[in-house]
Amino acid sequence: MKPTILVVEDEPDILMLVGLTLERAGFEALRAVSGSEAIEKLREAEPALVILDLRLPDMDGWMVLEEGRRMGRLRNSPVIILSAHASPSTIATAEERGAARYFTKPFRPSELVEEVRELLRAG
Amino acid sequence: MRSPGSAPTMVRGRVTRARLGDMTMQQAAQILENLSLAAFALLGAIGLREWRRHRGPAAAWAAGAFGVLALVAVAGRFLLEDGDPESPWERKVVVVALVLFPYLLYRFMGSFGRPSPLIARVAGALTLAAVAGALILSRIPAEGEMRSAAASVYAVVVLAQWTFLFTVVTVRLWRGARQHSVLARRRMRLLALASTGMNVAIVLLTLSPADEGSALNVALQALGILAAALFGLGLAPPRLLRLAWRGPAQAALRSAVQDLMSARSREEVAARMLPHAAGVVGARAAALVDGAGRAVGSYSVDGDAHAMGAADAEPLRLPLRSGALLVWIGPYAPYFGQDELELLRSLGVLVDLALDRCDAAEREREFVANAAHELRTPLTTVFGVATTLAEYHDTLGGREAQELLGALRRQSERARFLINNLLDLAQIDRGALLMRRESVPLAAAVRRALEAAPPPDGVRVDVLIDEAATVLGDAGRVEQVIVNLLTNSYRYGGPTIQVEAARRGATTALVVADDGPGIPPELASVLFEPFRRGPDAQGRGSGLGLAICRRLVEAMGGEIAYEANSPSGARFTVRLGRAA
Repeated sequence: MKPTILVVEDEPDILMLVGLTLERAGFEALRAVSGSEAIEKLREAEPALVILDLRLPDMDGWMVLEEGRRMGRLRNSPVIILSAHASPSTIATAEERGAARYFTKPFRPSELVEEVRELLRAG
Repeated sequence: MRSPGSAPTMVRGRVTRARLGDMTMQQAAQILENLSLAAFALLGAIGLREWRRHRGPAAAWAAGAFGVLALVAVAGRFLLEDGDPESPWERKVVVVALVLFPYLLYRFMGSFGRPSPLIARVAGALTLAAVAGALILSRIPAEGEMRSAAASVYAVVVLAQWTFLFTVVTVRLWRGARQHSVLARRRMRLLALASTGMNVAIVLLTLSPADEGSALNVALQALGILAAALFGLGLAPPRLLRLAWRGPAQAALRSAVQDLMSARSREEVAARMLPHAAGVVGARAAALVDGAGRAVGSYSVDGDAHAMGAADAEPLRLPLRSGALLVWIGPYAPYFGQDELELLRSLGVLVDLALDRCDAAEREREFVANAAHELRTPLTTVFGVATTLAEYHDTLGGREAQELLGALRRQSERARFLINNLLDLAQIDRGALLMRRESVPLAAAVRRALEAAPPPDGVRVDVLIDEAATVLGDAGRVEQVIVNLLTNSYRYGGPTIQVEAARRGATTALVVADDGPGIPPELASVLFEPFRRGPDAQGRGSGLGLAICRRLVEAMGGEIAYEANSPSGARFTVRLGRAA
């Protein structure tokens, strides 16, 4: 069975791009364009990994992470943060909150997928 | 010991007797007599002039003190000499005035800070006794006269009153001067020296033998004149002296100006300028606060910034355009350090300029950071699609390729739109935009705008504009403003948008109103600044539309305003001149 990756990103074109690249690499991509949609998807199933944008229209990425963990999800699945913010303080916060990797936009989709593979292999 | 009635001689300086063969000394005494009369009268005039200039309790007490002293001098000269020697009242009035002088001087001191209750009680009691004594005593003996025991006791009371009050004044002025600027300190110490000089002269004159032509008497007369001169200099230093004593404050001001020039942020302005500002007025602490009263920075001479919040201290507040400069100065500084406070005011103007410059630089930095951030999103897709196409081009399916190319087109268009808006903004700011001034029919402009930016599905635009309505401006730019306002309403407004025009005096007002949720109050005040968007504006628009609108409208000599629509929604009004 293909591992499921949840991609949370409010920019439809970036979401499409990441989803497409993941699917080409043999993953199942679940897509969410908002925080509430992401939580809904988490309620349905535990993904193998989450790719999470920090700035979402209804809530920020950290709240999604918190809510997911409160629901008993994401305890073992690694999280990759995808953000337009490259400030050291944001990156430090990501590390503190248990994010496995931090990607700054713009990024190379193939590198992101490579990172996903590596994290899943390690897990 | 002479009677207190003879004390005015020092002030009055009338030589009544002289030893034979002592003409030189007598001549000297004569000259000094005239000099003292002039000196004390002048001092009285200075006190009065200072009071008229500065008002306030301190100036009033000083005017009173030196006015009384002048009265003693003049009355002593003309009243006592030429009056009826048997009439005690004239002499009594002079003596009362004489004991009032140190008391008024002491009250002048008290206006800067309350003396301790004990000192206040002693000062009051001694003065009361001295005044009462003068009135009760059947007659105050003239110089050289034999005195009753009562008169001797009275002389002791007066000497005690003088010495006590002058000592209090001297000590307080001298000590208080410590925590003040150079100019204030020197002025205060001059007054302290003058008080002591005056005291010594009066006491010795009263205690010395009644020989007015003696060397001691002449010396004491001279000391009195010197004290009067010191009082005058301390009270109202001449211009040259002020300039010389202002030197250190001026040097501090110069350093402050130099440091201000290189400050790049509000915090840096505060950090660099505050130590100098404190130096200018001899303050022990200084702080800069912004318009909302929040501290931008603070400085304290002893390094403990918290100490300035001490309960005893109410700072002097110098209002600035963008907040205020607070200085914790000594209690005497507002009176004695006016010159330095003037310098501080001129520094305040420069601080305002420096803050303006920092704010402008900050806005520019923010603008560049925002522009870069806005470009990041389309660039992410463009870059991602490009690398994906490069890596997988031979294995991509037709549907995938279509999706990628669609995203590429959309995001390149978005980047282009953003860059065009940025360039527009830069051009308007440089004043490089060519604006025509023509009569623009509004109804046609709105039609063209609606063609360029048609409403999305589910949104209706009602246009209520008289075909005859015109504005004065550049047709293309008027249309751009309407497009931006419409697009804004499509994004954030409700299902119905109204576009209307109305004549208002010499202008035409164009209104674009929607029935959406309206704009949150905290955003309304910064609405026309670049990159200010609502919290749910994620990825929609460049964040420059309204900023461009305002600049375009202003460049055409008009104005744009926002208000909440009734019952809900946003209402933008553009006011432009009307073609004749």
